Amino acid sequence: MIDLSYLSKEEQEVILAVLKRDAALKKAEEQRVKQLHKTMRDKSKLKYMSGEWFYETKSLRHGDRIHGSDIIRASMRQRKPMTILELSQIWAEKSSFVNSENKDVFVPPELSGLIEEQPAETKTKRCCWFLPPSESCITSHTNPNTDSPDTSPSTKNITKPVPRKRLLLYSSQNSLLDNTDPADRQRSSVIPRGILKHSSSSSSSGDSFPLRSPLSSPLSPQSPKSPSAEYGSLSWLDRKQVRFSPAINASDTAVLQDGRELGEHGLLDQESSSSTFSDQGEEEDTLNTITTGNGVNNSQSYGQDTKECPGSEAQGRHLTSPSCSSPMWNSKPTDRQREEKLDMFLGCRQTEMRGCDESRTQKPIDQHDYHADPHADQVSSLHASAEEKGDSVDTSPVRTTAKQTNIRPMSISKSLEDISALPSREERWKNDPRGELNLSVHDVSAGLSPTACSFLDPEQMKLMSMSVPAFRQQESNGRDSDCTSDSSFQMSTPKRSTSQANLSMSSGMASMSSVSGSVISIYSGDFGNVEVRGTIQFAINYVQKLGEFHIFVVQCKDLAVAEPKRNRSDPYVKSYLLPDKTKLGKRKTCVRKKTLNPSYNEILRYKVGIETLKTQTLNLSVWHNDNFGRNSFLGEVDIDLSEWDFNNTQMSTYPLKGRVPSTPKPHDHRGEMRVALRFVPQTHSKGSAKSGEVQIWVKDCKNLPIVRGVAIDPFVKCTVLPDTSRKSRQKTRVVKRTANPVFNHTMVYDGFRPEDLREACVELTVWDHDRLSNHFLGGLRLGLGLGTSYGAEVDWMDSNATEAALWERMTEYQNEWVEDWLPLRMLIMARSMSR
Amino acid sequence: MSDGEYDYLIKFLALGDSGVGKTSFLYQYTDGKFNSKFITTVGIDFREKRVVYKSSGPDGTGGRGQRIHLQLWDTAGQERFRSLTTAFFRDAMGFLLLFDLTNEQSFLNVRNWMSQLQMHAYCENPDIVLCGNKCDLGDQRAVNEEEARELAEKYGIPYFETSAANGENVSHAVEVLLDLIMKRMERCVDKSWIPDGTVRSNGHSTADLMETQNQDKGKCAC
Repeated sequence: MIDLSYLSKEEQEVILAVLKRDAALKKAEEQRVKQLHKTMRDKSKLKYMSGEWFYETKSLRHGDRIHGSDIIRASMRQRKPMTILELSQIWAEKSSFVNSENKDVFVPPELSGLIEEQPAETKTKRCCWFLPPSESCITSHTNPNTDSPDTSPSTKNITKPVPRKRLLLYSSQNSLLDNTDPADRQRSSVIPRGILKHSSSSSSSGDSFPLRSPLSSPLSPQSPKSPSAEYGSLSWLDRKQVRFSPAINASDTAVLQDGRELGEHGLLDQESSSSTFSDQGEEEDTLNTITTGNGVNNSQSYGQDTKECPGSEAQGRHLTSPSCSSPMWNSKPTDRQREEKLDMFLGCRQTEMRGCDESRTQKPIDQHDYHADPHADQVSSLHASAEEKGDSVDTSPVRTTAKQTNIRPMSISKSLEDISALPSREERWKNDPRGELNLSVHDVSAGLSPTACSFLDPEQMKLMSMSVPAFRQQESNGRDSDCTSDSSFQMSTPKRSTSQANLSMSSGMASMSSVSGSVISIYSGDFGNVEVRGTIQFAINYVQKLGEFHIFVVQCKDLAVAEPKRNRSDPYVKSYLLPDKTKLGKRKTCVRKKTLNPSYNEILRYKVGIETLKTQTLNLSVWHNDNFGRNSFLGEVDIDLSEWDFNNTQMSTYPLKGRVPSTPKPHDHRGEMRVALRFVPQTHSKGSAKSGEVQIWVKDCKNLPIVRGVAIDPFVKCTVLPDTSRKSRQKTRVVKRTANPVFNHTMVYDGFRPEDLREACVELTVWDHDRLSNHFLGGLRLGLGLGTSYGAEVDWMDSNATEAALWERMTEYQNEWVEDWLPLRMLIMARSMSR
Repeated sequence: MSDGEYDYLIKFLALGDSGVGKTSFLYQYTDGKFNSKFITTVGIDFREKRVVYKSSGPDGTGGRGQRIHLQLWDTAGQERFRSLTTAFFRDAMGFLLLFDLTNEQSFLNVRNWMSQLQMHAYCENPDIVLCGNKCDLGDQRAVNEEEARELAEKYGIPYFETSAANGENVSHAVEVLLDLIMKRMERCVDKSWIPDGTVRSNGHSTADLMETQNQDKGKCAC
């Protein structure tokens, strides 16, 4: 139900007229379909001529076949929102083919909690297609105590408004920071000067343009060289201000920039710290906890959670972030937040079910409320801690601070802020007990926002608020899915914790970070300890006409019992075309409940060229779907497609095999990059300290690891640390389909004093450009590798001998190009670097 | 429906910021006319058009084209109608996502519309065509073709620069979308290679309650 009370009478009439026309069309369509059913013999043709293919898909996603127009009509008929039950009755009256069939499919939320067969999984899944992994990671551990939707039918009835449409100021956020009031800026730190980046030899716009708003022009109060007008809307052109700030806690600038490159840093998050979550939609079978990096504590604390002690949430969190030295991270969430999240979660589901959100109109109040909550900032900090986990190996205080500063604004921009909430935020900040001397960027940024807020003209604000509708939703959906996986911890049995712990211990972030999402499920050693037995029957076929590879999964027989207590398994089959282990490469059948001999008769499809296919291995694995805990591995089969006779489309039965727990094996080999460096001191200095520019000529790479399919689309990103701001980042173009790309791209950073060369570090990272998330291939860091920068210990100053040698040569032979082939390696990302 | 029979009812939906020209675009497409006056759409509206689709597939089903009845939903771009308009996203088989080439913000918002779609559409990756409208206003252009193309590429969707004023690319964009839908449809149901009678469910890769429950029903449906 949607609250349409905002519509005027006239508007309602107009809309009703439209709906009437729609109803007429629909009626005619029904007639036609009826007729079709009578006359059409060809069932599959019938399916698309009748539009059934569409309704089927739609109902899979939305859980019903309700038409948008019906929702609206019902909403209008009933000025006050109806309950879902009433709604369902309304819809149940109609049973025409096009309109509904909802007797079968429509499950009111009240009931869904009671119906066991409701796979929570699908609910989760549908949202994550576009969900950047980073977000899922942020939210996924925040709330282990959230009641699982399926265990608490009563709560489902809550029709509390969902803070769903939280608008996110991501683009303006940039400007908030950039338009910093100089005082604040100063407080935040010591940015001695900017390094100007200019004249990139090839376009470096990359994929960073999409969300550039006019507001986000990188004005910098510091830089005399950057009059705002000049940069106004040209910010993606080559010439832009690069703030090169050696002070670590000034790196806020970088982080706030996110949102823009969502897809992209999603990827880095995924790569660098929390691989599993990229796959969270379903991967309860993977070790959700692994990526937190503190598996031991995790599993223990979650084990305790099972006992449902009210305080356990906080406790759990406490345990999960042992390395977070900041008290901020240890803060206890209030019940309120918990409820909020729960509501959000439930609401999210609900609105999904309804396909509309009545909650919208009530939102402003709700938001207000929420943001006015003095603890709201803790929510962010929880996010921060969740985000943090991958890095927990490291306990350096500096690092932690760095992370804190980096993360903080980011969680602001990502999660909680929105325009309508600004006033209350302002208030909060006014009362913020933290003193002005506090250098934490989080305060700085917080303090800034209201100031910057005044920069926005109200019209603009309105525009912004209109323009960013979805972001928040995405996130609440992320939450949705994460809550599901969170709840899994409640149920996770102690038996699993050991192996979990082992794995997470052994899998420091360095080793895990290169692998994306599902790899965990592929490589990890913990599969739930269920014995492997039984068979799987399937057929495979390459459909030339469609350019698709089809796996027809017929059935499994004699599977193991995954849940001895309930004596059942709820198996489903999942496929990958190895070596592609990305989430996009995953296909699944539906879950068959309570059976050891599931019959699927489903086709899993891949759009893939036959040539590619012939280099791949089909991995079919069977999993027990556990709505509450992690899914358990029931066995698998690998088919080497290079040896497969594609004329054979017969159904074959294979025995399921177990999996040898192997240690995560990231790519040891990452290829090499040829790069030349040159330091050119500026001679025409005007009294001030002489500075120069560092030129980085990325020539080419060879033997890059092929992380997906047969081809990768590599590009190189460059940042000069410690400046991690997005603006200082430059990129080469993407070279398509090659593991040996030639870039010949020169990046120039200026404003380097000779002494800066000792403190800075050029980080070059190679990425595989993928539509939704780029994959990290390898990187290098050019610097002296001394472990410190401007007096602070930093972990990114970790250049190895060859890298450092090149840098030294550059310093030594000024004005000359120095060049070398350097092996690419895994990088432990400075947190902000991954943005 | 006075003009008799058709073979398929295909529903599209146009979306995008307010004022980018959704209504004009559809009006141009269905009626070949343009009205430069700005009339905001109240919530939702739709137009219809009958077209004949000839498969452009490799197997070229040649022969008689298929008669398509297009229902083209027009949505209000204004925020205040948002909850209403998104309710219709689920009913469309394909989407025309428009922005205004002379208005950068409308382009920046494409991303948000995309995520709205992914959230509310009938499936996670619906067919979408991105249209940079008002390409006739060359002198006022604020979004260059390259960046728009790049964005479209990122999403893996086709991009056209259209003009509802002079009709440029308007029908082409719709046709491309139609083609995508028709292809998808075939893909959705083509399981000819599987022995008769074995396929019960749709073979959709997502598991779902309905699937399990409707198993029996499904059995006879295929």
